Amino acid sequence: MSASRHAMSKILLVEDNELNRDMLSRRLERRGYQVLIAVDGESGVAMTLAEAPDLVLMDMSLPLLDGWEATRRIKSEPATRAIPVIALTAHAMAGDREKAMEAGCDDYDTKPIELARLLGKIEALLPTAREPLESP
Amino acid sequence: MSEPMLPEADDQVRILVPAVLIHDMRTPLSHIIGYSELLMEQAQEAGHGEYLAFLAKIRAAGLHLVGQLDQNFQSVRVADPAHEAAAAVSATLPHPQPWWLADGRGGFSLLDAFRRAAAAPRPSQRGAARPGEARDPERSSEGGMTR
Repeated sequence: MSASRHAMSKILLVEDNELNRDMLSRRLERRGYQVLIAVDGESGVAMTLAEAPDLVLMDMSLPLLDGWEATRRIKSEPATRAIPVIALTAHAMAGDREKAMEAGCDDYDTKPIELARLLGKIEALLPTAREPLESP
Repeated sequence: MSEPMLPEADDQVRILVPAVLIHDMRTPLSHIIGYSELLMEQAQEAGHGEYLAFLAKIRAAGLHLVGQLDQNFQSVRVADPAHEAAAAVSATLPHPQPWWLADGRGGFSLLDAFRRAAAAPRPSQRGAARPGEARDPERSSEGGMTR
């Protein structure tokens, strides 16, 4: 399994579905990412503030605080607004992408996850400052 | 004679059913496809190539179902002018529950929606009752099905 260009980057996965959390975190860890987990929108916002991840993968249908509002809060906070947020949704309805982008998400993807596509979006959004760490 | 308009409640069901169905079907399909891909990677690394073909079949079946789902609801997802309303309505659901877990405590029940949709008069039904009118008792006793 080849490691990511941004291996050891810290990704916060905000996902309430246990199987989605388990499956996606395993697949990301196999590519060298450090994966943090939050199970609802409120803890997602709190962990973004506390852990300062390099990127957030945000499910939209979340308990307590949905992904749209959680993203708005992350993007309205000066300490976290630069952290890229990728929206993940199983709705896949027309208009969902626009709604996610309006909430402040930097990109959007649908479930079932096509991993290569998602990895491409993650790599494109991760801070470039990490790249020299990967150089010999 | 013009066909009767669908009642507002029935129209909402028409919008909600595909929105909730797409979400509730794509979630477990995501598990099937994701775990089969994960197992394929691990089987390959561990030198268990004999499992790859079986795992690939599971993955292909999951992808096929996603394709069927998308194809069957293409009109709602793309061409139906109500698609924006469907997205808006689905987004307002506080935390959509799988329909098989819906218990009437505030979660949207897809099963209830199907029952309402099945019971609602359709414009194509000859002799279908308008809202507020009694339905033909013979048809009602069959749950709307013709003999």
